[in-house]
Amino acid sequence: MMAQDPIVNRELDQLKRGYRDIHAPAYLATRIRAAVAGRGARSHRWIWVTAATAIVAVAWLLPNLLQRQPAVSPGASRPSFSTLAALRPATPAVKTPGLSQLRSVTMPAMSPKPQLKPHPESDKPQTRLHIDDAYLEEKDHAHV
Amino acid sequence: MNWDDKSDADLVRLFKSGEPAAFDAIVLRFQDRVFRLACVWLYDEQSAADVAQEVFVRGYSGLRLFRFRSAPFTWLYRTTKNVCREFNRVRRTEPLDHEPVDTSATPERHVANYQGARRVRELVATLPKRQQEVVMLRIFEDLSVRETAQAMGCREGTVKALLHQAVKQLKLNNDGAGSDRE
Repeated sequence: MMAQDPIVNRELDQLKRGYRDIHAPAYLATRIRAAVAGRGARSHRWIWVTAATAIVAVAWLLPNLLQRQPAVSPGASRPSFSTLAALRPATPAVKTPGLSQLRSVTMPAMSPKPQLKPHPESDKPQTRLHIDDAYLEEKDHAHV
Repeated sequence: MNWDDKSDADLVRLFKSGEPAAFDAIVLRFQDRVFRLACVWLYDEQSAADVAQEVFVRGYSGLRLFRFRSAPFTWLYRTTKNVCREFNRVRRTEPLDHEPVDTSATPERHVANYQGARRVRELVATLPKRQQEVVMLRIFEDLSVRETAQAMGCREGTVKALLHQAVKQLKLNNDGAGSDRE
């Protein structure tokens, strides 16, 4: 792809030739090979170190986990999620009445409120209490 | 095994299947292209060699996971771009005390590399970032429009439009330089 202008074309052609004449130094391939070998060996070592660390960690944790397990009683084992999901709240033996039923309940008529019959002498305060005058009499027990 | 008649994808496939020699073939096939890109984006050959080395070291693990959704060079191009960006960021924070000298290359080769990279760098420096990328890939690396679009992570139409704008800009620059010379 070149420009339509012949002068620009010529210039670009020259530049392209100059650009294409740039070559990597001869040592570059060797350097790359050495760098790749070094980096590759390092990465392998890293994988091995990580794997060994993981194995040691598991070997250290596993006995601890196994020791803890007998302490848990078999009856206290945790229920599974499916068991928990299957649980339903217990339905009451007596059916709960609905709100409409509660409203429509007809109560038996109550007996009329008992009225106190007025005492014939009740309107005379002085006669309301019949206190025996005998109580008021002084008795001299000491001289009896 | 003769690696020259294998396609880029075949080499990666062989490398993925556990053929270590295929990686050497990948390095030999792409090292010049990666190095050239790094030379343009960085300012010295030593840094470009360091970047190329890092790109292939990343490629050693990255190409094992390559899914062939694009060309292998597209993957290498993106990695080169990222590594160059990281390299420039580090260099900005930790400036070099001295210019590293490449003692292995002959002086002529060194000069040719330096001049080739410098002229391309000067040319693309006049363009906006996206147009620079299009010019590098489509004109200097001879990638197809599709491959360029994959490398840049955009649509083919965008590549065409950017290339058109870039060439127009280069022509304008050229006309300006011509009038200056007159």
